[in-house]
Amino acid sequence: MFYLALKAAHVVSVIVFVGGLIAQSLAVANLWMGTGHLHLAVERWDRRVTTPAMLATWLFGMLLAMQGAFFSSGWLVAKLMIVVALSGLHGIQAGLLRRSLIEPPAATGYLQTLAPKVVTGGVILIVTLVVIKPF
Amino acid sequence: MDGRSQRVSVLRRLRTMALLEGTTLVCLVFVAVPMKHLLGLPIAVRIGGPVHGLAFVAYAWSLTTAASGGGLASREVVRLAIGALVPFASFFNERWLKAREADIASGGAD
Repeated sequence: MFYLALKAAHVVSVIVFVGGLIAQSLAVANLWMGTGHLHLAVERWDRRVTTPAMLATWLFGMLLAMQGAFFSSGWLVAKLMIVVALSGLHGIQAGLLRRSLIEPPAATGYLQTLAPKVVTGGVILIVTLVVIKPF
Repeated sequence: MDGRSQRVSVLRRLRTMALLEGTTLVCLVFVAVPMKHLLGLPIAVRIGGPVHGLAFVAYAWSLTTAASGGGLASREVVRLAIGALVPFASFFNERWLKAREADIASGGAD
């Protein structure tokens, strides 16, 4: 159990670190290119990298669940609900980013400012469920 | 890319996904499932299930993005969401999206 908890903590740390590193790299690259529009760079990255990665995540995840016959497991059902929520959040934010390219964004709601924390919390729950398989 | 081109582009992608989702749903329900139960060939569902699952996720994501991007009214989102669950309904939605796309491209409804 301790080994599994360590493994989950390690995977969560890696995912959060890499996500932050990519965001940081986009911000720094944007500073050096001097465009002054970080959302343009993020939107382009989202279209070319993040969205295909999300679809690949779903494809490989479904194949893995079929391979291991995990669809009747409680942990997978719980995990799937979080994955659907995170995919939905990604779709909403992708739409908002694209909209921002043609018109100035409306006043930001408090919920939108919570998104980074929601994503991080979702990753922690997903990795814990997958690695430890508590139920 | 101006606002009109972007809206057309979003609708075009949604239309493509609707066609893909509708086609895989029809294949799954009317080909793979009968093959499993009538011919005892579960392999068709084992392949068709994940393919349709992925097409459904891609369509749902495209619909969420289009709705969040401001290109669709709430009633239209509901119509497009229900269309993904009913066999053949996606094909009607695809035609409707095509007309809407042409309308926006020609400078009509925005």
